Amino acid sequence: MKNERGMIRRLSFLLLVSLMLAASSTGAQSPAPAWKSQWEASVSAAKGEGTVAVVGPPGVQWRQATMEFQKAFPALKVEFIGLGGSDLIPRIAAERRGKFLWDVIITGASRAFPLKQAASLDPLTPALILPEVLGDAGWIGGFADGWMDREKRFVYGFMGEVSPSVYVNRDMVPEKDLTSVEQLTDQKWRGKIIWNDPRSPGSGGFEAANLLYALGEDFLMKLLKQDIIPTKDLRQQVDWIVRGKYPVAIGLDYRFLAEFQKQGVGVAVVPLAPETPAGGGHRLSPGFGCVMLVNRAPHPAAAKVFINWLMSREGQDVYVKETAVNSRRLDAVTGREVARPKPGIKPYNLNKEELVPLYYDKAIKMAKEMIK
Amino acid sequence: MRSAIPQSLRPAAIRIEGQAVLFAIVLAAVAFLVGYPILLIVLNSFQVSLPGEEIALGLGNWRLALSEPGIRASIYNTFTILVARTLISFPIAILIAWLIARTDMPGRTWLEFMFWILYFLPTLPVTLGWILVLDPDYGFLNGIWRTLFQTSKGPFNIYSFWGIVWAHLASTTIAVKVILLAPAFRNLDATFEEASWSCGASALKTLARIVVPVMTPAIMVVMTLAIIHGLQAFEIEMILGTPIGLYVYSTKIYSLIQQEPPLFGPATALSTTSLLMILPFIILQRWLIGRRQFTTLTGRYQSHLTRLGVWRYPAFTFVFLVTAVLTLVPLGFLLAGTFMKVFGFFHIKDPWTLANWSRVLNDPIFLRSVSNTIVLGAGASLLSLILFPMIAYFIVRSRFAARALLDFLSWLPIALPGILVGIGLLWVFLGSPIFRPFYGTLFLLVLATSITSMATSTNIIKSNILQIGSELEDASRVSGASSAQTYRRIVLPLIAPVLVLVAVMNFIHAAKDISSVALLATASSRTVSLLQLDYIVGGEHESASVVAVLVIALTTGIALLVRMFGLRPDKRE
Repeated sequence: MKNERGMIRRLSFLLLVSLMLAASSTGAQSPAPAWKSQWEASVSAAKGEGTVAVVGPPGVQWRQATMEFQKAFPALKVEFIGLGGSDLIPRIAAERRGKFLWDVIITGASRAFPLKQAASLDPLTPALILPEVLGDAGWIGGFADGWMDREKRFVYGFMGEVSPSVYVNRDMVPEKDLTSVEQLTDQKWRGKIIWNDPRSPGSGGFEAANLLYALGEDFLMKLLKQDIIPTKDLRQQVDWIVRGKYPVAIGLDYRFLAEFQKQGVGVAVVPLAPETPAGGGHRLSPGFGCVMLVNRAPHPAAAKVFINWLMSREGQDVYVKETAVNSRRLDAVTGREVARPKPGIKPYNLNKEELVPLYYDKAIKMAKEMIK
Repeated sequence: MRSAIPQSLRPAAIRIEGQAVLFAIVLAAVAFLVGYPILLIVLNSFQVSLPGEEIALGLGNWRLALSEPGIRASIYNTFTILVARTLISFPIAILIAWLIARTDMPGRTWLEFMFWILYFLPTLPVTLGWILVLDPDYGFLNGIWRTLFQTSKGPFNIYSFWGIVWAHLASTTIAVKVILLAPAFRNLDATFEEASWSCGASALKTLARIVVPVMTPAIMVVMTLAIIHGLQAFEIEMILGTPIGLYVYSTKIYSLIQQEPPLFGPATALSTTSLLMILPFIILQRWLIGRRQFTTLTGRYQSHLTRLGVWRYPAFTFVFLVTAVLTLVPLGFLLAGTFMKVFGFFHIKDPWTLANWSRVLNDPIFLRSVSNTIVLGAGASLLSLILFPMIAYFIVRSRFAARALLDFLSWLPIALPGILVGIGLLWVFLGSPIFRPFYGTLFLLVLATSITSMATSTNIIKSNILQIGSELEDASRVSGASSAQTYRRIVLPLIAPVLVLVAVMNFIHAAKDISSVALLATASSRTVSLLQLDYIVGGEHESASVVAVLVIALTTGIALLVRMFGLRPDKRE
C-alpha cells in the first residue's frame, strides 16, 4: 500500500515537472524558459554527484520523510543524520575548518540563525529553480513570507501550522470551568499547569513568547506566578495530562499526544480556545521545518535538486504525512485540520529573526526570573 | 641472534631508554587526545565573541554562569544527593562484592552477572519504570498501600530528594561499585583473612578490620569515580527533579548547553568549576594510595573462600533480593514496554502488540546501525585492552616524574560533561591533518568513545596493579625477561580478570554513547544509540525500548561468550 502511494507520488511529481516542461515548450517559436534548462542541468549534475547529504532534526519521522527523496530520484542516494541543536551548531561550525560533509540542513529557525551568523550557510535563492516552488500562489502568505532570516536569503520555513498553545483534559475540567486562556491566571489553577519548560528553547519557550505577544507582559508574569510545574520530558508531560495528574498543559507536543490518542488513550485532552491568538490560532510556526544550504557543500547540484523537491507539492505531501506537521504550501495535504490557519485570518510568525529578541528571548528571560 | 646476557644485566641506560621512549609516546598521545581538547574547552570559557565575529576574550561567560539563578542551591543539592548515595551504596556494594568474590555464597557467579545486566540497562527506561512503581498518584506500590491501609495517599514519592536517591541506587550506583570492586576483592590473598580468623575474629569483623583497610586503593578509586560520575549525572535529576524545582549542578550545565544557540562558554565555565571541585578528590586518592603499601597479590597468593556456614543461605537471600529488586523490576518494565501500545498504560483495551518490534527490525537503517555498533564496540574494547593497561602500569610502576601528570590526565575525560569533551575532540580531530581524513569514520568514533571511558578503565586497572606485589616482576627480570616480556607474561595475565571487565565495559560504553557519536558520526557510521535517540525524540519510547533491549541482549551475549571461553572475570589462572 505504502509502495503504491509512493509510486503515485513519484508519478505525480514527474508528471507535474513534465507538464511544466511541456507547457513551457509549447509554441515552437518561444524560447525555453531559463528555469527549464537550469533544472535539467542541475538534475544531470546531481546524477554525477550521486549523493545528497542532509542533516535534519532527530526523530524517526524526519528521517523517513527525507529518505523518500530516493524514490523520486532513484539515481540519487540520501545520507541523513538527525542532530539536536547542541550537536548541530558546534558540529557544522567546526566542519568549516576543512571537512565539508553536508549539503542541506533542515531544522528549527532558532537553530538556523547561529549558523547564518557563523557564515556556515550559502544563500538559498540561487538554488530555487522550479516555478512551482517560487510561485506566490503556492504558499500561505506568499512565497516571500517563508523567509525566516532578516536578509530573506538563507533560512526558509517550508512547514507552518497554527498549533494550539494550551491543552486541557476535559475529563478533569468541564467546559464550563475553563473556556479561555486568560482564565488560567485565576487562583484555582495554581499548581495545576504543567509546562514544557518555558525557560528552555523549544515549544515551551515559544508558547511563552506567543502568550507575551497575544496577551502582554502582565498576563505572562501572572501566569508564571501560578506555581507552574516545568518539565523537560515531553513524553512525561503528555503522560501526566492524559492520566489527569495535571489538568492543563502548555507547550505539549502534539505528536506524542497523537501516539496516545491512536490507542484510544487521552481522547479527552483537547486544545483550549484554539481559534484565539492566545490559544495559538493566529500564530504560524514552522517548527523544525526550515531548510538551508550549507556552504562549500560537497554535492551542490544534488542539494539544489533535493531542496526543489522538498519545497514542491510532492515533497511537502511526504513531509506532512510522515511528520504530521502541516505544510505552508496551500496545495499540500493537511496533517491536522485544527492546525490550518482559519480563512480570513492573517497569521503572524514569531520565529522570524527580527521578532525573536522581542518575544521569544524576552519570554524565556521572564520565565527564568519567575521559575527558580 | 639472541644475546647470551640476560636483559636485566645489560646496561640500565639502554633499558630505561626504551621504556622512556614508550612512556614519552604514551604521555604525548594522552596529552594530545585528552589534555589538548580539554584545554581548548577551558580556554573557550573565556571567549566572549559571537559566532562569525572576531575572537574576543573576557570574563563574560563566567559572570553569566555564576549568576545563573539557583546555582548555590544546585551545588548544595548535588552534594547532599551525592553524600546520601555514597553513604548508602558503599556499605551495600562492599558487602555484596565481598560475598560474591570472597565467600562460598551459593549462586555468586550468576548473581554477579545480574549486576552486569543492571549496569547495561539504560537510565531513561529504568527511571520511567520506577515512576510507574513509585509515582505518588498512580504508582503501583502506592496503589497497593492505599488499598491495604484504606488511606488517600501512599507513602512513596519518586518526585522527591529520596526518590532521586532511590532512582540512582536502583540504576547503576550500586551495580557499578559491585562489578568494579569484585575483581579487586578476588586479588586479596586469603592469608590475611586466615590470620584474622586464627585470632578469633568473625567474618564480618574480618571484613571491616582487615579486608576493607587492605582494599583501600580499590575502594578509593571506585569512590573517586563514583563522586565524579555523581557530579556529572543529570538524566535522573532532569526527569524527577525539574517538576519539583530540585536542580543539581549538572542540570544547570545541561540547561546552558540546550539553549539556542547553545551557551557553551558559560557551560564550560561551570564545568571548569566542577573540574576544580573534583581536583581535591583526585589528589586525595593519589596521596592515600601513595603513602602505604597495598599489596594483596604476591607470589604466595592463596585464594581460599571464606566459609559462611549457617549464613550461606541468608547471605544468598539478601543478595538475591537486592538483584531481583534492582534488576528484575526495571528489566521487566523495559521488556513489557517493548510489547505495549502505550508504555505504562495496562488498563487500555488490548494493550499488547508486536508492532514496536516489527517497526525496529524493519527499519532500513537497523542492520547497518547494529553492525556499526559491533565494530565500534569491538574496536573500543580492543583499544582499551592495549592502551589503558599500559597507562595504568606506567602510573603505578614507573619512576618517571611525569607519571603524576599522566595520572592527572587520565582522570580528565570524566571531569567534564560528555558533550563538552566531544566538542573538544571534534575541534582536535578537524584541526589536525592526521585525523581529518578519518572524520566521519568509525575509526574516530572508536578513538572518541575510548577516550571518554579512559578514566574509569585506567583507574580500575591501576587499583588492581597496585595490589600486585612487585617481587613477581622482579623475579621475572632476574630470570632474564625484558620489561616488555615481564609486562606481557607476568603483569597482563595477573590483571586479566579486570581486563575482561574493562573490555566488556568499554563495549557497552561505546554502544550506549550518544554525545561523542552525535558529533562525529555520519549516515554510514551511525550506531544504535542514534537510532534509539531517533525513536525517543519521535515520541516512540516503546520502539526505543526495543533498541535498548537489543543492545542489552547484544552486550549480554558478548559477556556470556567471554565467560564461555573461560575469560571469566572471577577466574584467575
